[in-house]
Amino acid sequence: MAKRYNDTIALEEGHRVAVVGGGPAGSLFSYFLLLFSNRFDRNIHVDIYEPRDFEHPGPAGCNMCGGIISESLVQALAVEGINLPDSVVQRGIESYVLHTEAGSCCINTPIGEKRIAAVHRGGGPRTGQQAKWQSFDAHLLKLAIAEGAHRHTARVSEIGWYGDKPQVKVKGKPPETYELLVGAVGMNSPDLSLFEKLGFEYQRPKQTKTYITELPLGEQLISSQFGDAMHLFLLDIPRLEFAAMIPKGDYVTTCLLGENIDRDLISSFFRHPAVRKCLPADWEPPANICHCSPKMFFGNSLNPFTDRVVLVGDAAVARLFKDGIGAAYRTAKAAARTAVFQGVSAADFRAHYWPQCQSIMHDNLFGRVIFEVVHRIKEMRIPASAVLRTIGAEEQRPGNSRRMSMVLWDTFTGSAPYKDIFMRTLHPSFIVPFIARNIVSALRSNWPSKEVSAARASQTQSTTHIEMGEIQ
Amino acid sequence: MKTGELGKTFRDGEVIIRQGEPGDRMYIVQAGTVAVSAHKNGQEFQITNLKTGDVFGEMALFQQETRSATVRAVGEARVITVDKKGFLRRVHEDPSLAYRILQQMSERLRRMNGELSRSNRGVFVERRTFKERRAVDRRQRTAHAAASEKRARADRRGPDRRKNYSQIA
Ligand SMILES: Cc1cc2nc3c(=O)[nH]c(=O)nc-3n(C[C@H](O)[C@H](O)[C@H](O)COP(=O)(O)OP(=O)(O)OC[C@H]3O[C@@H](n4cnc5c(N)ncnc54)[C@H](O)[C@@H]3O)c2cc1C
Repeated sequence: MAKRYNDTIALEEGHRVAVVGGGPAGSLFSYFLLLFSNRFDRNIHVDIYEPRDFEHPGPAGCNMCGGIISESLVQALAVEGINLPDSVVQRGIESYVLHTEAGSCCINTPIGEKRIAAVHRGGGPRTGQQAKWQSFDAHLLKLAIAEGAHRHTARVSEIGWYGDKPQVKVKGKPPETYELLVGAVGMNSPDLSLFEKLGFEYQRPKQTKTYITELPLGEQLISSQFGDAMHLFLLDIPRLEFAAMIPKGDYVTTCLLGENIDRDLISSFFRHPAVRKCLPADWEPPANICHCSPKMFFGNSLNPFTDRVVLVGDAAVARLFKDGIGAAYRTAKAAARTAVFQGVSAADFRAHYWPQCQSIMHDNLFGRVIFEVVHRIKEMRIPASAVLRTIGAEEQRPGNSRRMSMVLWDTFTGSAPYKDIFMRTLHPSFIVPFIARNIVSALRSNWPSKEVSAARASQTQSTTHIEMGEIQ
Repeated sequence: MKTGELGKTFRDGEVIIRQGEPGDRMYIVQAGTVAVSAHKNGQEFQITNLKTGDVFGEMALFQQETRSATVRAVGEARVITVDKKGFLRRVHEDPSLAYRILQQMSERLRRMNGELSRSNRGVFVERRTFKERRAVDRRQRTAHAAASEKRARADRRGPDRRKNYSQIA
């Protein structure tokens, strides 16, 4: 029986920990728990339950995601000594191209260095022949195993209590009792309900449905057509929030985020001129294209911990629309730190783990405001063209003084906290030039030339046409 | 260059950071080797070579000072830059992030102490030899002085000797 010091339950020598889910959150939790306890010469037994074979091509081996490892996470992992080799990273991203209804522009990385990684989470699309690159999730799982974790290729079918300790059951095997149970099952598992039924009033996060497809364009075409740039689309297509095309090795991962993404929305996206411009002239998606519709984090979970149980990664909290793997790293490490250095009671998690979750939740409030503004801008031509003009004017300036470019870079790459980005947009040297360019754009579009005035008098239709030409 | 290589690649001999220049970034070697050297009194001293996973330039993150050494690529080397602001924000949130850097700094300190005590041992041996030699010299000089004092005393005692001396001279 573990010792109880007031509200603390200590994790001690020989204790057993079950981690349900071997995605980024589960693997990183196990890795850090073992790293910290090994530093103390405390021997803890960690079992990771993960049914997927991440080396397997297609949905069976894949945790369905855009596969962008953000700039801040790449740096944090490098500092942690977790190297991302080129056998895992398919492409280093050094710029992104923003496409709006008012035109397109390119934003380069602030320091001219590739610090964003494009990876496949699993063994690649189901149409793939032989995997040239390793899976990112497999890489992290191997890291945890190298640190001493035991992997069980099995889905957990039941969880319950044995006295005050959690119990885990997989089909065909007797239940196993643990001192700590970690839920790292992500957003897409029906087994979130196992934790909801465990009786500590946990409620899964709010979700939104998305769409991902892998375009098999081939390495050469991708290098010539996309290079090392991620393409972002803020288009005025109803129900589409935004879309991204992420060049990798042989495939371009295309993600669509929005409300009720259906066949119509997908085909209007692929028919849009801004999208067609990125693809070869007569290219049509093959019939057997690999695609999926995973759920994405959209709102906080409730009570993601109790005595001896904690949920990490997407199952607890993630960053809004971006850097979900970065949030998985932060929550997983905070939970591991709490378990080793503080304890595994609800009080321990409330005092030492919950603040990390709250900081992400709090930051998401700023994220919502930012995405709301982006949503409004993308629907209106004048501010959209003012954004493009501002970026154009900033092109020659050094990194930090490119305020608009950096705000957009950090928003869409997930490189900085949303609060930080929001505060930067309040700076006079951000607001004043942007408002000025809005006024100029508005005046230009309302200042018709003589011919236009004459034409407008007779036919209002043509004005729209000239306005569009003007802005572009 | 492979499409999946992260960071920035430097050619053989290319300077990554230069001693005396201001710096607000830290670097982590991703591939290859880099050499750390420093200038003192117009002379360049090789300090060490760093390999994959090693950190350099970390002092600039903790102190508002200029770079204390120059770092160059040995062969082709690839490094990743860590921004000061983001790193310090993370360390305040999670101090254990600095553990590996502390580990590497303490490893470097230990190596430097080792080198220092090795060179101190050299100085100690040299000093002892010098002292011994000085003691021998002193002893010889005392013996010599005593002998000449003895002779002088003998001289003072009798004139014959002086005569002999003058004869010799
Ligand atoms: C369209 C889309 C695009 C995205 N793009 C990005 C991006 O570019 N960059 C980024 O950082 N994030 C992105 N995300 C978010 C990212 O995918 C998640 O934040 C991240 O995967 C969370 O990691 P996790 O370990 O918590 O969960 P997951 O990655 O979902 O892993 C959960 C694991 O648990 C296992 N599991 C589930 N149930 C059980 C069970 N009963 N027993 C045993 N194992 C079980 C599953 O097999 C799975 O391996 C995207 C998400 C979506 C939907």
